Amino acid sequence: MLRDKNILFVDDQAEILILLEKILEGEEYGKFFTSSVEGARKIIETEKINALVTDLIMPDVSGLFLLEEVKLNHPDIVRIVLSGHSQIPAILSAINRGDIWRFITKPWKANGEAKALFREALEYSDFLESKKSCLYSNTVVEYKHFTEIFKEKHIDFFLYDSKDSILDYYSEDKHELNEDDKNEYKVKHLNGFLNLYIK
Amino acid sequence: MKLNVSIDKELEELIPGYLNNRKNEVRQLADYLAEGNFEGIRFIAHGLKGTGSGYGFDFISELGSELENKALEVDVEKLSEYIEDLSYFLENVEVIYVEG
Repeated sequence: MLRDKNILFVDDQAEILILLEKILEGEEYGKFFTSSVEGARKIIETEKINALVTDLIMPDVSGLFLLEEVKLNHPDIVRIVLSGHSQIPAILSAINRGDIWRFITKPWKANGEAKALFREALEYSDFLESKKSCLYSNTVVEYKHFTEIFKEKHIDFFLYDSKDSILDYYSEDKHELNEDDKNEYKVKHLNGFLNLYIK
Repeated sequence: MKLNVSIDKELEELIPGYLNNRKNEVRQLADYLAEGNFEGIRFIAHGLKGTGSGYGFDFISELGSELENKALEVDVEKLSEYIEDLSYFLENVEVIYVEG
């Protein structure tokens, strides 16, 4: 349910925040706005934030620092950059370090595409939370449940063994996996690795 | 000559304030140019680039981008020309609000 989710927007240009607030007023999720990295830190510590949309170049602290902090301390917050073309080297650097999920380049259009992207980010945050709970609890996941989760999320992934050999894969075209009694697999998909027990 | 720009009706209440702020910035840009404060010009230009299209004014974003580049190059002639273009646009733009 998106109404239980929150997005934090960080931009030193007040008119960007005012515009975002206006175009997103019909969206059911919660919205927080701040013009500084320091303000963002306070909100992140006091509110349950699911996605962060930040500019990169700001007067006090770079948005890159904020992204790195959030990645380290709150890895389940989906990170999006809203920034200018002139900052592409910084954006590429952030992408390569895995600091961000998407970027929106300025100038940008206040249209349905942005709304769809923010909704997608919140849906992705659901996945990150489920991934986190699996990792932290090291729970044994029923094979059936595991495949259902991934089918529901439409995620193509590969199963690797501990030596990184591909054991099997799941995609839209191939929906069945080889079933084993109880093995530890490393699951690789576009967003990284999961370690799960599958029985 | 009026320059017609179609903007989503959803943004109607924000547009007069947005355009008024840009008029203030044109004056600031002219002052900065006279002072040779190119970093000040670059800062305002960056803001124009970032906000223009979001509010529906692609021209403002494009001009902001050009101003930013020319401020980096310290191209006084082009900066003067672009500031005049922005001023002309703001004096003559006529916004037509349309349902999204």
